[in-house]
Amino acid sequence: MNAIEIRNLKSYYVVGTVKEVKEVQAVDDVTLGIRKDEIFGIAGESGCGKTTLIKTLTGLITAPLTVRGGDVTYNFQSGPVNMLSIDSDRYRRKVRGAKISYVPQGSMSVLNPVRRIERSFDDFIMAHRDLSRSECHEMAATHLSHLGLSPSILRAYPHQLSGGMQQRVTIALATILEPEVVLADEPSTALDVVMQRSVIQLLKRIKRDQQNTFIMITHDLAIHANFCDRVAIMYAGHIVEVAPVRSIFKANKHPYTQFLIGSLPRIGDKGERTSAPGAPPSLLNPPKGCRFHPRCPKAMDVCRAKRPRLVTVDDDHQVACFLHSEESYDE
Amino acid sequence: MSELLRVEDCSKVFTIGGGLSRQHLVAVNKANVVLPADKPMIYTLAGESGSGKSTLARMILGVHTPTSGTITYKGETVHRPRNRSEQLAFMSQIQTVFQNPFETFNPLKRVENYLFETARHFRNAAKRADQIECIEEALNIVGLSFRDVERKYPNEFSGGQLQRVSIARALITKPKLLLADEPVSMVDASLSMSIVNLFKKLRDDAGVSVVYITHDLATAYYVSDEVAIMLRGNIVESGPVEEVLGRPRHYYTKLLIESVPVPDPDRKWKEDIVLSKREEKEYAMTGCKFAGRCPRAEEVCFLVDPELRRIGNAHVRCHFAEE
Repeated sequence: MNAIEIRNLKSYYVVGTVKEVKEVQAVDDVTLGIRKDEIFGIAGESGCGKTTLIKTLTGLITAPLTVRGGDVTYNFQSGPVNMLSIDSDRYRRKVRGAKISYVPQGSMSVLNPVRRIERSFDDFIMAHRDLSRSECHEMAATHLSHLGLSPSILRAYPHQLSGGMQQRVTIALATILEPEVVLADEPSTALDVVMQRSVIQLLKRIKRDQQNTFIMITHDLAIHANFCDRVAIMYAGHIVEVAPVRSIFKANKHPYTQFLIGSLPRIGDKGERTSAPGAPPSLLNPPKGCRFHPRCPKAMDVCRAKRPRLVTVDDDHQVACFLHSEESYDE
Repeated sequence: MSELLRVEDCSKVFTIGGGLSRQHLVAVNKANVVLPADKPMIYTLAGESGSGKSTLARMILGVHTPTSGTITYKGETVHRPRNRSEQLAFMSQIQTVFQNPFETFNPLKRVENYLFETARHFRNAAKRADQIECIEEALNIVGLSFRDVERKYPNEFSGGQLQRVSIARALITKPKLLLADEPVSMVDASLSMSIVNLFKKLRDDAGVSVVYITHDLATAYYVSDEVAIMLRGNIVESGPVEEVLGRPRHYYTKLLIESVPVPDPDRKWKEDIVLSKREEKEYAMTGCKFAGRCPRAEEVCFLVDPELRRIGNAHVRCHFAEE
């Protein structure tokens, strides 16, 4: 059974006035099954809807973000929970943090700059467990030393730590209650290579100890290669390819994936690299048919008219492209 | 004159705190960089955050005054009093591109204002038509045209486009040297490729030398001719990029290269790395700053600051580096 079941999810940003309502189709008709205990990566250019997808998954839906259809079901050990149909905000908060944990982009800023790190831990733990402050401290200290971080940082203020250390502390904070699902949004972006590696090292360790299901979002495909089991490639609000990480890198099928992988520089190779021509489309008024067709070198007439369906072409390999299957959505 | 830029034994010491808690922090220690005038090149400064890359760049720009050592641009020292026209002439030679294009431009101001201002001050273009001509020329180099930017605000651009406008703005003055401080760390892989390809084009077609500051060694290898690896203010290894990144001799360079994620699921990181527990203390250490993390460290490393030695075509600052 899948840990998370996403069906036909449509999350739009609804902007504009009453007279003229505009919809930004940030996540459009996404269907995905995320398996238990796997590390699932989502890749794509900036502005393709990765973060919107994660926000919807955690139920952080505030205007202008609006869900226009579909549902998200988590199959927890205690039973299934449909994240979008929970109407009590209090209950949703109980689930979030304890069972689902979200490491947002630039997550260093969740630490309050005028309070010691331990107070952030207290707040987080006491919102979910009935513990005294000293018990919280003890719990935080054991968790940190378990992760190879020094418990002495609990007494520090955020500005006394480097960016990479703050990032590791926030990850520790997000995983202290052993959540079943961890959603990480660009946890290692903007850190230097050594810090990036230490963050991934920490995530791997947490995964090994707690056996959680991970969803990892980053535009850095090299990180996906290092960390993930399966990867989905997202383009302009659609999922265009889903496959095990090895197939994504060695046997990719969608022309967009091929552009992404082909543009990666490697040490020891000075060969010319090119990136996909043109720019990603505006999601306010996306192109008809396959959304990649204006930039695709292999675009055919059918690509301009119809939107390809995400179909399984190989063992566990799904792709939405007319080069590989003729099935389309009826529009 | 065969040198465009020469940085000689340049150091910068910052003083933190006052009174009894005063501390000195050596942000850059005796850096040496030479860029030739006859052959434009891309020179990369690479290293972890807090290694002094940006401080060195700011000294080249003339923003910070070095505590010791000299920086000369075309044989003339950078840090000296100038009158307005001399200052403008100097600024038009060295231009800069910043990390985050959305912070470079004021969100409430039209992007074209920056372009017009630069054209007015540096190219003496008084008429609007002349200004547009200068702007059009610079935008064409980065693959845009004036119509793409006319009357637009920064939020109407994508990150990659805006970064290109930022580069075009720098090109309006027809600089000889472009300092790019982490220009690609905010944009995704395919856009970062289009920006570093642009630097190559600038070097080859427009004859602009680029100082490219980054922590991304993969793009550094791809674009640059020479590279300097910085650690806690020291340049620990420098030389031609094929030599330094292809056959690293300093243990820190080795660690950096090994930490670059390879986009290949069959080549994942194997071992765990040792991290410095006391980052701020590494600055104050005597001897080699990397000794606390180095697998090869011996007693001498903690006591004696290694000299910069020439090995092959590269310069290495390590006691045990070998051919």
